[in-house]
Amino acid sequence: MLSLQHVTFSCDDPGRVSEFWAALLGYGRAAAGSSWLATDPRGEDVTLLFNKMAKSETIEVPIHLDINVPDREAALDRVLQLGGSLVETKSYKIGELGDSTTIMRDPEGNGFCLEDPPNTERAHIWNITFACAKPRELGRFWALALGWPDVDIDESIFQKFRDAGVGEPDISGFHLVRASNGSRPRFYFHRREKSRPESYPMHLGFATDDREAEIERLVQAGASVVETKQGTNLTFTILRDPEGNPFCVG
Amino acid sequence: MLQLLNITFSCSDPERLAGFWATLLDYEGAPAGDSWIATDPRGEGARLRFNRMEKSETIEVPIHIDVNVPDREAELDRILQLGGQLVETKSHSIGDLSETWTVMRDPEGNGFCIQSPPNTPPHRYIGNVTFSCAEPRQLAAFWTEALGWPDEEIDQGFLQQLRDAGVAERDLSSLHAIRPPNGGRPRFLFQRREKSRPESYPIHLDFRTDDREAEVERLERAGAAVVETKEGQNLTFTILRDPDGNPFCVG
Repeated sequence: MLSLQHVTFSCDDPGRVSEFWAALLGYGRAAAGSSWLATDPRGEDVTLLFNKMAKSETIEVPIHLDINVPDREAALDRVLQLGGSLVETKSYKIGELGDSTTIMRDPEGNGFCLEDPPNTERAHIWNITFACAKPRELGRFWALALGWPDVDIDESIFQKFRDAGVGEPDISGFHLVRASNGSRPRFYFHRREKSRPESYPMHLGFATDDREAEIERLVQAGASVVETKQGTNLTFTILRDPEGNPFCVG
Repeated sequence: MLQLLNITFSCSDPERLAGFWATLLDYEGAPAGDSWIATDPRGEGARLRFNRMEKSETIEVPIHIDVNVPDREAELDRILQLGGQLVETKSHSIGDLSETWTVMRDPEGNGFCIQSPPNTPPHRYIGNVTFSCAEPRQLAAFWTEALGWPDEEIDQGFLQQLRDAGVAERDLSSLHAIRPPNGGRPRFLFQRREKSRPESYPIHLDFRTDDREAEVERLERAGAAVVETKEGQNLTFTILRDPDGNPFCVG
């Protein structure tokens, strides 16, 4: 099985971007060669890695982070003070269901979302969100890769959508997978056209006990291997998921 | 110059789709050979044409229509009764600015928006033809030249409001509109949005012109690419693509 080790940002200025994210999430940070790491001092939430690496410009990012905060309006101001920028606050409503999200950018233009559901005590990464063509199928791949349960969305939500006049394919326009112990982050998939950049601004890094066996298993599940690289301390393989999103297994 | 002749839908059932849109917009539908046409009896709105033609599946449509209506909530229910579907009602706000619209689909799945902006006339009409594109200003510049429509400068006060709310420079250029000089409709609206690039577009625009060959040459110089020229029974027309790859016809 894979376990999520890092969310990795490709940056022009790893120090600057790591400073932004560490301040936003209450993480500590440390240099690691020319990269920076930002880690949760409570040991609860996922570590962020900031590499100096090329990235392509995107219109719609293929992968982004959804951050939960106690107070969305206060967090908006905080993000602006830290050097981020605002895209817009969006609300959606489908029949009785509704939600509000503020879309922002970090200092290097990476889009992310802020939400403030009830009982949120501190800022944390809640979802890693994939824009994709087939949410259900891609969700199933990642559940298998991570050893997470492959659970369907609650049918009563679909019924609420239907009652409000939503048809296919919009009813199946999203999917969600999470660890059985409820730990964060969740992986969220929504049907959305995305940019297909040469170099992704963000990708996921995973650890595993037996890299070679794991890669065989992932390829059988629909991933494809790009290449295996030998680092000084670590050998890792770059793969793509069934919709082309790159990820690393070390 | 080009003049907008039709907004053309590729569909599997032209009569059914023409009926939906004619009822929605208070237009009149009529068959035209194998196709159907829906026209505004007031003589104001753009004509719609429904051709039985292949179309590819899309996630984000490259071109869609924004319909302005007097009462968005009432219209939502009416459209569901006509056989349309709801995607979602969306609001966005940036600082003090805010807007609400409802995204829907027609019976063949084409996404469109309904909205009730302030001072909407008491009837339904097509407010915008909206293009998803990488660089709204650049694509708008091409269509300004193609149509001879003046470039509509965005109000500096409005941009300053966005800046004050914390919007970065790149996002300030994510929207651009051009409109006919006489205040006619529809506007062409360009938004920075990733779009599907289907083999066969579900919606495209047809234009007429006085001198097709000269016009095609002029459009090529402005950045369009010719796909092919077709000889119909009564009409010769050329299929082109705009600089962003959106197909359109000039007859």
